Formats: sequence, C-alpha cells, structure tokens
Amino acid sequence: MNRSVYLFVILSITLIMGCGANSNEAKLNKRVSEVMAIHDEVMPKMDVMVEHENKLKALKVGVTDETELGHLDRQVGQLQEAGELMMSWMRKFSMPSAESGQSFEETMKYLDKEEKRIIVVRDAMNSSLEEAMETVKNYKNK
Amino acid sequence: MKYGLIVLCISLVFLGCTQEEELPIYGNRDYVKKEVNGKTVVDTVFHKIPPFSFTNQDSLVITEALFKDKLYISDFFFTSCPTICPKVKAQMLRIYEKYADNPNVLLISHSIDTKYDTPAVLKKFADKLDIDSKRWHLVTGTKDDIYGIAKQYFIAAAEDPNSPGGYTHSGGLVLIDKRKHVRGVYDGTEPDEVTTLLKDMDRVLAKQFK
Repeated sequence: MNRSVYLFVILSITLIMGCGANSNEAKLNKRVSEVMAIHDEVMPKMDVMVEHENKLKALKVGVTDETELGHLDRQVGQLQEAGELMMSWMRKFSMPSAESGQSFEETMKYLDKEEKRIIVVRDAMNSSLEEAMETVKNYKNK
Repeated sequence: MKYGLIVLCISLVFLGCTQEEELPIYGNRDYVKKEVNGKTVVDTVFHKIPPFSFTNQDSLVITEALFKDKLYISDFFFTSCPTICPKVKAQMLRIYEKYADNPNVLLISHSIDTKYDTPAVLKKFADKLDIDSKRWHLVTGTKDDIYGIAKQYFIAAAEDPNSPGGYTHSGGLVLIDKRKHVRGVYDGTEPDEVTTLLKDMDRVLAKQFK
C-alpha cells in the first residue's frame, strides 16, 4: 500500500474512534443530566414535606375519631416513606465514572434503570405531598 | 488654608467611596422598650439562631454554647449525596483551610440523612476530609430538629429573592456572626460566591474580633 494512503487510513480510524468516544461521553453526560433533572425537580420539596408531616401531626392533637386518626397517620406515613425513598435513591445512585470499568452500553442501561427508579420516587413524593396539602387545607376550612 | 480645605474635602470623598457597606442582618426584627438611666428607649431585637443540640462525628453533644462568641459557617449535606455536596465540601475546605489557625472561626455541617448518617458514618467522612473535629463539626439529630434549624439559618432566602438557600439541601452556606445573627447566605457550589463569603468573613472578623 502506498505510504500516504496507509497514513490516511490510520488517521481516519483514529479520528472516527476519537469522535465515537467523544459522542459517547456527550450521550452519557446528557443522560446523567436527564436523570438528575428529575431528582432536582423534587428534591426542594423535601422541606415542604417535613413541614406538612409536622402539620399533620399537629392536626392529630385533640382528634378522637379512630378513622380520622388513621387517615392522618396514613398520610404522615406516606410522606415519611416518600422522603426515605428519595434518601435511599441518592444513597444507592452512583455517578458514572471512567474508573467504574463499565462499558458505555452498561452505563446507559444503568442510567435507564435509575431513571425509572427516580420517576417512582418523584411520583411518590408528589402524590403524598399533594394529599397532605389537601388535608391541611380542608382542616383549615373546617 | 485654602489648599488644606481642598485636601480635606478630597480625603473625605475618598473615605466615603472606600467605606464598605455593612453586611445586613437577616430575619424579622422586634422593637422593645427598655429603661436606660431612667429614660425609656426603643431597642431593636434582631433574629438570632435559637438554642440547638446535635451529636457530632465524635459522638459528642454539640450545643449553641460551643459557638458562643464565634463566627461560624453552617451548611446542610449528607454523606452519600451524589450531586452538589462534593462541590460544596470542596468550598467548605477552602474556608476551613484559610482559617485553620483562627480560633474564632468554626464550621458546622448538618446531615439531612438522619437515618443513615450516624456519628460513625460522619466520623469516616470527616477522616476522609482530614478535618479536625474541634473546628468542623459534622452533626446529626432528629429530622425535625435538623429541618427546624435549617429554617432559622435560611431566613435570608425568605426575604431576599436573590439569596441562595431557598431550601435545605440547596448548597447554601450561611455566615453567622458572634451575636448569632445571620449575616449572609452564599451558593456553596459557586467558587466565586465563596470568595465573596471569605471576604465577608474577614469583614465581620475585623469588626467583631478586634
């Protein structure tokens, strides 16, 4: 093979491989941002959740009706569970890194799985909070 | 005489230009009447960080008494936080290192993961950061107490929409002076903001610890 053709082929392969690695990195970064965006959307609600947990506990004072107490307890439990789901997700989530030794495909699969998990967390947080807010509002209007 | 007056005027203008504005004191203020030398005067009572009790990385109970007459920085974190905490901890280390030899400066980091971040876990984390537990307290407590005190520190967020720390786990660093007043809230994920915080700390130190 002509030397210059040989050089051209080597250079092209290197460039293509380099571009491939770069685009994989960009894809990974984008995917991480997408997953973290779901986390970031609901994480600020943790404060409001704790606040409502305390409001619901305060509403229990003076309530003697068992059904009503059970209803308030269930909502407190839901808020606590949803908060713990978030903490647990964050404890287990490991940010992809070059040192992990995982391939691009493996990391993408991992992020897909984590996205599904954080969506479950988000929904649990949103629904428990909405329910608690509604209860607090109804008690105020009583 | 004429020249003297000109020099005096220029000096006054120069002094006026270089004098820095006082850092604000955040939070609600009350006005109370009190007797001074037989006269009734109105005194302003500013928001203060209330008493607290937490457990640190050495399993010691830490209260507000430890921070009496100290300038300190407070933040909220947890050891397994995947996103903002590593950035904030790097900035907290900047503060820790700058005031390594200043006994008037302390740091307190509250874990919001009260279930997982036991004193033993906090101890491991502190060892990894290679920090002195007498100067930087990593603390845990009940969820109610941690979120309750956060409200007191991030009082600034409620009144200043540009202030960071709108919620507990947002990477905000809070500057508290020796009178337990909140003097500033800074975004701990932004190195430039922390540079401002360091300058503000110097200002408070110069004023309150002469």
